[in-house]
Amino acid sequence: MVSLTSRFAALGRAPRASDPTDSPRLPWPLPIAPTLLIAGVILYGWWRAVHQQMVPMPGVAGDPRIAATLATLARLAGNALEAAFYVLSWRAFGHRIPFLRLYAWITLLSGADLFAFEMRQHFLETRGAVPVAAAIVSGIGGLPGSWLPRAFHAAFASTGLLTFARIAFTARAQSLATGVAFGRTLVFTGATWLLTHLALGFGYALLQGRSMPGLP
Amino acid sequence: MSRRIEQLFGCMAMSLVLVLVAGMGAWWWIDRATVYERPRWDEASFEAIAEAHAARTAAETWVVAVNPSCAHCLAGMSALADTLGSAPGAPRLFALVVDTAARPAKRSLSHPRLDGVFWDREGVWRARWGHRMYGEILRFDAAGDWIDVPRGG
Repeated sequence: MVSLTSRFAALGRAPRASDPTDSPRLPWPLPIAPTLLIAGVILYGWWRAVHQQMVPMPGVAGDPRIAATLATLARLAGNALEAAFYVLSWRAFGHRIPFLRLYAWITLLSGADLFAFEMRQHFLETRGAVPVAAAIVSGIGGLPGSWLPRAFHAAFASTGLLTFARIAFTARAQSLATGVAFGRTLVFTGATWLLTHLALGFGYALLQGRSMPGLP
Repeated sequence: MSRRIEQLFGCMAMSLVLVLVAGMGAWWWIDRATVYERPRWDEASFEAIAEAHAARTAAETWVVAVNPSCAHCLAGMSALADTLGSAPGAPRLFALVVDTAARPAKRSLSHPRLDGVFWDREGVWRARWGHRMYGEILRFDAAGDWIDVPRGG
C-alpha cells in the first residue's frame, strides 16, 4: 500500500525518518513575554470591538460585557481550532507542527483582522461609509454591497489586503515548520480559508432564507 | 501515537472540512432551488390576536415578523413603532407572530402605534414564503402585494 506521505508528496518533500521532522523548527513569533503581552492586547481589542457593537436595547436583558467576553473566548477557541486543523492536516503528510507555537502565530496574526475591523468601523463612524481604497485594505465588508449575494458578502467581509497578509504569514509559519515550499502552504492555507468562508456563506444564506433584513 | 494513526486523524480533519462545505453547499443549493410563494398580505391567512385599530388608509402596510422569545426583535419592533409617524400617509404597522405553537398573549405585543397583531398559526411565513429572520420588515402595497425592494445594498 502506498503511504499517504508518498501519495501526497507533491504537497512537500517527504519527511526524513530521522529527528528533523520531530524537532520543532517553527520559532515562536516573538519571545514568550512579548507574545503573551501582544496576544493580551489583541484579545482586549477584540473584546472592546465586540462590546462597542453591542448597543444596549431597551427591554433586552443581558450584559454586553458578558456577551463580549464570550465572543472573545469563542474567537480564541476558533484560533485554536484553526491551529489544530493545520497541525492535524500536516500530520497526514508526515509533517509535525508544534501546536502551541502555531497557535501563538495565529493568535498574533488575528491582530491584522482586528486592525481591519477597526479601520472599517472608523470610516463607518466618521464618514458613514468606507472609501474603496480603505475597503481594499480592510475588507469588502465596509462596502454597502458587492456583486456577491448578501449572505456571501457578509461571510467574505474580511476579504482585503490585510486578510491576504494574514493568510500569507500563516502559510509562512507552516512552511517554516514543515519545510514545504511556501507556495504550496499558501495554496493550502488559502484553500482552507476559502472553503471555511464558503461554508459560512452557505450558513448565513440558510439562516436568512428569503428574508431581507434591514429597514425599508 | 503511531504515524498511521496521525495520518488517519489528519485525513479525518481535512475530510471533515470538505464534507462540511459540500453538505452546506448542497443544502443551500436545494434551498435556493425550492420555489416559495411570493409573500402577500391577506389578513384572512392569519389569526388576529389584538383587534385592529380603526382602519386607516395607507399606501403601504409594514409587517414585522416577531417571535415572543426573541427579545431583540421585539425591542426592534418597538423602536420602529416609536419612530414611525402616524400622520396620514404613514404605513400601517402590523406585528406577525411567527414560529409559535401556542397562541401568544395579547399584552406581550401591545404598542399604541401597532395597527394590529396577527399570529401565523399555519407557519405561512416560514414554510410557504421561505422567510426566516425574526425582526424583518415586510412591505406590502395597498393591495397586499409584496414590495420586493432590496434593502441596505
